[in-house]
Amino acid sequence: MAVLTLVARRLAAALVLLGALSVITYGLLVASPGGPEQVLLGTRPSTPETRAAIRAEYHLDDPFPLRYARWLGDAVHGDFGVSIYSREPVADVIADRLPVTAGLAGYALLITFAVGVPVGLVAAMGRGGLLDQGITLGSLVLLAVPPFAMSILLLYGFAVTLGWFPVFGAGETFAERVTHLTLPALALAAAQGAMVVRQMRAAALDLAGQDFLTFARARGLPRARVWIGYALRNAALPVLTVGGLLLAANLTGALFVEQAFGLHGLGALLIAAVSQKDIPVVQALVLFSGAIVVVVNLLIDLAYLVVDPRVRHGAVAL
Amino acid sequence: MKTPTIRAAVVALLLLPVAACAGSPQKGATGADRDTLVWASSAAPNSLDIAHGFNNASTTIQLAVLDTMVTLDAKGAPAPGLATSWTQPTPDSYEFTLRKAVTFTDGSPLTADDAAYSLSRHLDPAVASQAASYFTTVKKAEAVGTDKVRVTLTRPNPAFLSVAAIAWQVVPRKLAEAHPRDLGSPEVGTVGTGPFKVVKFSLTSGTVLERNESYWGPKPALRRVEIKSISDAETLRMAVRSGEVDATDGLNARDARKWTNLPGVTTSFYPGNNIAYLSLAVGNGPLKDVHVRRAIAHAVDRQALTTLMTGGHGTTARAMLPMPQMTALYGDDTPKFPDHPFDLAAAKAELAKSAYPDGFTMAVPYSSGSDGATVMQAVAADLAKIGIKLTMEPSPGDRYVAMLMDHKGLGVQYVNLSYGTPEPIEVLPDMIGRAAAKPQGFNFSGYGSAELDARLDALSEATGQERQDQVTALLTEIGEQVPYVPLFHMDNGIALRDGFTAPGLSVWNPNFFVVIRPAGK
Amino acid sequence: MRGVLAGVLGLAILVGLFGSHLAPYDPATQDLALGAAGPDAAHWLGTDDLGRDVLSRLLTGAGSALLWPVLVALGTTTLSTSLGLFAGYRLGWIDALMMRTVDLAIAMPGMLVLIVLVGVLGGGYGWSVLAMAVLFTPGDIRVIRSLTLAQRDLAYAEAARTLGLPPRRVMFRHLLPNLAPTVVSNALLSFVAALVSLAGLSFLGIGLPAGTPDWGLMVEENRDLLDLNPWASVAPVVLITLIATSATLLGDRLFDTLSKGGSR
Repeated sequence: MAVLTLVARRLAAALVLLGALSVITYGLLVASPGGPEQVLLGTRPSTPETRAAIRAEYHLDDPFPLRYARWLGDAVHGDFGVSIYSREPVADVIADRLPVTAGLAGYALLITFAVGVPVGLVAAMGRGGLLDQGITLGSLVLLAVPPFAMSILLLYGFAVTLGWFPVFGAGETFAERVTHLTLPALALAAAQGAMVVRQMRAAALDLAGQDFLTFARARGLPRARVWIGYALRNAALPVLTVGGLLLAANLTGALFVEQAFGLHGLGALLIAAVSQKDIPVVQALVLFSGAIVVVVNLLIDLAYLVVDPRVRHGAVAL
Repeated sequence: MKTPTIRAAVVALLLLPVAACAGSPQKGATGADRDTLVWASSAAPNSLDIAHGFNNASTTIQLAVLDTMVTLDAKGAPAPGLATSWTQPTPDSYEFTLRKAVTFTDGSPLTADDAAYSLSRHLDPAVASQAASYFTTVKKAEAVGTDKVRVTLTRPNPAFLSVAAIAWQVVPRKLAEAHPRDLGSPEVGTVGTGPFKVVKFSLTSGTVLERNESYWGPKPALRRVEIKSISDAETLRMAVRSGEVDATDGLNARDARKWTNLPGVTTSFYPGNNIAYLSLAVGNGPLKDVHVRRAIAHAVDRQALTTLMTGGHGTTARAMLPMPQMTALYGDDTPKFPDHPFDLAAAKAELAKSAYPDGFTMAVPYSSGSDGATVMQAVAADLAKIGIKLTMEPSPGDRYVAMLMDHKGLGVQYVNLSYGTPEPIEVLPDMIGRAAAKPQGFNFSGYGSAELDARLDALSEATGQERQDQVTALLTEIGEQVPYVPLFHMDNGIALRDGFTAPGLSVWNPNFFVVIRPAGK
Repeated sequence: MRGVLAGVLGLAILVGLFGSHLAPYDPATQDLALGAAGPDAAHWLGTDDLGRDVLSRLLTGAGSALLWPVLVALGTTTLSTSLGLFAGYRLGWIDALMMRTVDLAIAMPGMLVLIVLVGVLGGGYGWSVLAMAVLFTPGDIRVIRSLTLAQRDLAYAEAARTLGLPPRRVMFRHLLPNLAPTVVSNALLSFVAALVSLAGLSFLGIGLPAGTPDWGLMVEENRDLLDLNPWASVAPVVLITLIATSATLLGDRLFDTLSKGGSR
């Protein structure tokens, strides 16, 4: 029952969120100077007829509420319109870009966890030691390097100077995809991995003082076994939360990394669409991102329900 | 817990990059299959139809896939294309004879009806063609018999052939009629009679062209062209440097030095059909005074600006026409136009003659993060020396362009425009015609009069020596009255990796994929 | 360690305040003949593509590089602390309404909203800074509110209320000092996030106008000089990283010190 209530409440909240997001972005784009006709016609003389035809086609002279209502009506039916720039259906434009962004996000998350969790554990196990201090400082530094600077440095070092990786693009086949996305994924994972290291270390240290760990140690279980077995399971929730939020952030567009590595993902699309006043694309992207955030948050909450019986039985309010 | 699995995963992950490197495609510039070219543009092409994609990245591909009825020769004169010849029965009509036995790449034969429709569709408001302004004098285009197309104009227009060479791309009527709005989009694509055919067109993963083996003309040397877009200029340069991209036109003359330094890369530059200038709004306060305008012209160090902005791949502009148009019109015999050479004393003297002997302050909006920002900063520094203070007001590119096109806040503006044809009539009405001195027009100075409009009108029908004289007179007036200060002409350039050459590349023949060939072939 | 921290941040503040006076050259003076060159005696960090002195641009840029993030941190902290205290202390419908709004705001993809906002509003840099401060606020409100909730029913707060002290006095005189460790470390974290994010906006070309001596812009504009003078773009990265790391560490230390010494 608790699950159903939770889901229903979240969905209602999601609708409000998406509604608010779409009104805000639509309003902002409409209010901003310049319109798609400037993008479409470029710096080239145009006939008044052409301009009128474009204004009519995109209903640019209708009042804002009417335009928004028209857009909303179509969107509710799953029709997000046609990109002003490429004249492709917006759904296709996004579907075209999604694999790149999703691949990058997944790859980065994989690295983040595969490195972050064990390193965080190691730091916690050697609390206060030289290794711990080194790891803590190192993760702070990684957190402080701007992602775009990290991209530039990786790009220059590993792709240009050493020539180990391709410089741009996402590749076609799976193997190509992996090689092409390795550096961007590393650039993304650097700061995020550092975040997970800190989270994992803190969570593990929290547990270190607790009874069941002392008890397990007293039972004579090997140190590593105790840490990995117990601490990992109990640190799972906070780390899962961080992971979910990172995934949501990466899926909504790793702007900097995509820009620096010449990846045609959702982040690069957003930047282009905003500057082209491609309202249908921006709208769909904003809604898509909002939906991802909502879904990820919901999944995190459900995970809590599954993992933690106290939450499941409604003892802890969400 | 499953420690071994985790450990294995970590190990696998650490090894991954190494394994990945082993398989990474390091392209060498060797091998026999160098008839494939990887080309990168700095913007993604948005349409394979000039009606909806009249921009560099798009027209580059259109040129390779679609034929035009007329082409331009090396000097910019009209030459046969899909039309083998033409006549001009009356001053305001043309009759084109269609090339025989040409087929589209889908196998269907090219008909006179296709050719005629391909022109008249630009007049259809339902198409909302971006090239419509090129064809405002076209009344109708119709097929006459099986191999003739007759074009009737509303009035004589000697520039029609040049314009047709740019924008009269021939597509199958059936396809174009079915897709007035989205012909050339990634979904619909296009079909042409050109040297290449489209194998793939995606805004995301790029475009692939293959040689049209049944092309009626000489076969291009390249068999396959892969076209990518890399919007970040530096990433683009790195991609060429690493050999992942063989060629690009995404280099700015200003950054030429960064490209000429790259090992294994050659650059070639040729005069571009553009002109960069300062527009002085003749209706705005102090700028009403011709002496103020002349003082500004004298005070701007155009030579230094040219060097700064074109890195040695450009020329200082002396009159308000793009360089290739000057060459096409005058050959090597360019007349001397009134000029205001860089001379601070002369500038101060002119200013002393005006109502503002001690200078004045003026707000100047400009586009931040663009060439305009650099130019306006240099100009402001120059003008400060004679007491004219420009208050710089940066705004983001799209916002600035919107303001500019609305003709709001016009004062001293940096403008750099590119053109398509060798015809001065493409440029001059935009500069000094009153029709263009309104929102969405390009006459940012607001200079114009009924008398000038009449002269422009006469020019649009003039030919030969008469045309040359009229252009000279107009440019002379601009030079004297200074509604604009011509600054510089920027060269266009391409960068090619070793193994490819581009002989005969010129502003009138920018068909890159036909011109570029493997070295030694 | 502590000495190093204080040294780095103290130096950063000094340079931020007086950097433009320390600069050996005018940061805008160009030397086109020289162009981009590596470090030498005349130019300690070399020059950029236009022959401008990198060290001078770094020093001059320090002011804006630090000032804007400080403003973001001040704005975010003031806003989130007062709103969080208010919601957590007052409870009731005001609290409910605020928390739902916060939920909503947190669920918004922040960077995306910022880019749409800045791209659309355009104009001054101030807008980006303001938008960023507002975007950072909801998360902090939530933290402050939950801490306030924990404190409001403790004996000392109860006592203050029983004495009939006005709510504002209870909130700011009695509760706030106990939240100080969190407020201070949150402020420093906001500063770090703003420092890094604003540099990112410059990279995307929606920050300060080109040519401004700004650290983020320097990284972006000079990255094509990595062959000729790597310092032109690496030095600002190093500075951003150094200052951000130090500020985070300082936040951690202050949190520890304050919570040990000042509780209750």
